[in-house]
Amino acid sequence: MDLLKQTAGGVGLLLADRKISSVELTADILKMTEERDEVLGCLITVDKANAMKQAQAADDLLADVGTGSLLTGVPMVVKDNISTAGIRTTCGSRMLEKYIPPYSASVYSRLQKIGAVMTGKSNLDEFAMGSTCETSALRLTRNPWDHKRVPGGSSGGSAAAVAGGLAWYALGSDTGGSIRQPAGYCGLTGLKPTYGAVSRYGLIAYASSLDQIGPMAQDAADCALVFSAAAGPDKRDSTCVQDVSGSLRAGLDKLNRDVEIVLSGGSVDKISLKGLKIAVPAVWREHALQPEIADVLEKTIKKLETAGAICSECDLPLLDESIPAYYLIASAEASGNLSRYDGVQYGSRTQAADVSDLADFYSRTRAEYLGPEVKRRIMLGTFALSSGYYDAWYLKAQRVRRLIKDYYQSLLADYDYILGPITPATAPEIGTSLEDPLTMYLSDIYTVAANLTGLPALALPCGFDKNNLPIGLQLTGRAYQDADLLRTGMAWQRETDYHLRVQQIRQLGPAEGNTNLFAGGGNEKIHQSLTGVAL
Amino acid sequence: MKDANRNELTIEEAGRVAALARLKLSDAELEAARFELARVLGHFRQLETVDTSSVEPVFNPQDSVNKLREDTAIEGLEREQLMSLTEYVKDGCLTVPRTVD
Repeated sequence: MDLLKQTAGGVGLLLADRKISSVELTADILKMTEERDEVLGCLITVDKANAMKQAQAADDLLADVGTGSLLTGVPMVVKDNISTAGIRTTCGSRMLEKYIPPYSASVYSRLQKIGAVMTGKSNLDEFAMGSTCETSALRLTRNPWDHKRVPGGSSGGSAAAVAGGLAWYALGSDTGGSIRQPAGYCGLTGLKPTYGAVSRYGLIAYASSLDQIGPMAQDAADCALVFSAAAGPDKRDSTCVQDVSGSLRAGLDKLNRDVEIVLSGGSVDKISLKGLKIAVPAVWREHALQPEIADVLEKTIKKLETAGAICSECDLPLLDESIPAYYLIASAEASGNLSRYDGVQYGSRTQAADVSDLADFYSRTRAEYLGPEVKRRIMLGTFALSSGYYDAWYLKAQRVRRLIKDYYQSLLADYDYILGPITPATAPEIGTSLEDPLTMYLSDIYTVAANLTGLPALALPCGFDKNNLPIGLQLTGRAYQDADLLRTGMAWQRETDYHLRVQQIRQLGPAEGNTNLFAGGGNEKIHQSLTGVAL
Repeated sequence: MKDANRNELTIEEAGRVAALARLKLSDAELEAARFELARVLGHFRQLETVDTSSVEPVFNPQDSVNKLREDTAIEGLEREQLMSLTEYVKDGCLTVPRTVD
């Protein structure tokens, strides 16, 4: 399908011009999903009837000139921790394997209003706890770039669906890097918005002071369209009510118009890297970073400078400490949020016949239906909040968080953005990460600060390693300046073409019996076209 | 763990945490959890090197406290919708296993 090469905005234009219909497009993508997802494992639930109904509604909306948006009728997927009324929402857990929410997340309702078409719910690490998508109790998701490898996590199904050509964009959630890291592993663009920019009502909570919903797509322009539709005040999420979103909205409306101009072939002056002040923390140069990532980042800095940005080295204290601070806080909040799964009102429950009392009933239900990583974090969080340890662990972590937040704020008083890697290495092979949880936690070192501080952070493709796996860069911006951040992402993508490579992955799909699209498996031509090197 | 030099968790302490967390773990699982937790906490001890003596904790990025809406009724879900989320309903009430005779 040639349309797979298009971005969401590109397809949106064709739909708006009535050159294609959403009903046909959606039927095609559902067929594609059937063919591909057996291998890729992106989706936990595919709801064809819902997708076709939404496609029809989108076509009706588009027939009424001027009522659609550029996302109207464009097929997408939603991470399976975002509630969708009447459609199973599992969190990748056996605890919620049969749970059908009676209400929708605000973000899904907002997208429905503009005629979004959702084909399915995408896989994730169980309750979004994991960095590889492998802690899901329900599916194994493969990285479309190399089927031996993980797509990243926790929004791995969302990333693999976009990179694998099953959707034009996806909603993910990011508590410690869960949008940016899989976007990086899959050659996509992903935004962790400012805390409070997008309502979390209906997002099944993991860590409430860190969770945020955001877009994943092929480029920053698509992320701008999705974020613009998703963001906005919601009286049902107290972090999202105050009118901080006033300035956010004005910036987004302007950005949206600029995206439309760019998509229609026009040019916009404001999309430029010229004069941007970018802080480059020297510290990651001393950290264990895959050599190709370090290389690519140095080249990225040069490219940014050539395009007129001013990059300056800076300090970044407490980088190592951000990991314990994050894991203590996230686990503590998780232990509270997940205490609701007791088997009584909804969710799975133990069938044991010999329960001794209610506590035993709850404890058996939870032991039977929650997975190992979830239990591990609940144990850690419960410990950190328990009497006698609260001050030394939980409160200590929250104090260190203050120092990190203050430092980032002072840095962003002098600079427009902070540049960094997304991960210490490119996507690992399936089956190599879970046996050592601590090492897996440490791999989140570059992403957790954005969640601890609440700042927006954007993942952008910036190169490839020797196995042709994507490498990404991360830009962290000022609170509620998400529109500027996305604009800068668009400017980067005007200067470079790293984000375009995923088009070929989307186009190709999972070739039969092929575990690595680039090494062997009969795709020499593709490999050659991408790298200029014949195998 | 109260002793700063002790980098391990007794089986009793691990059991206490599991009980608080409402997780019924087998002896083998508890033993594994004890070591995993101790290993992670051992690493996380690096926080102790940070001076936070005059630092206020951050509980959320907006530093907001108790945002209240006006106390007026808003539309919620119907009772039937909520009760239909489980099959364990009898005479309009949720049921749990019998634990008293």
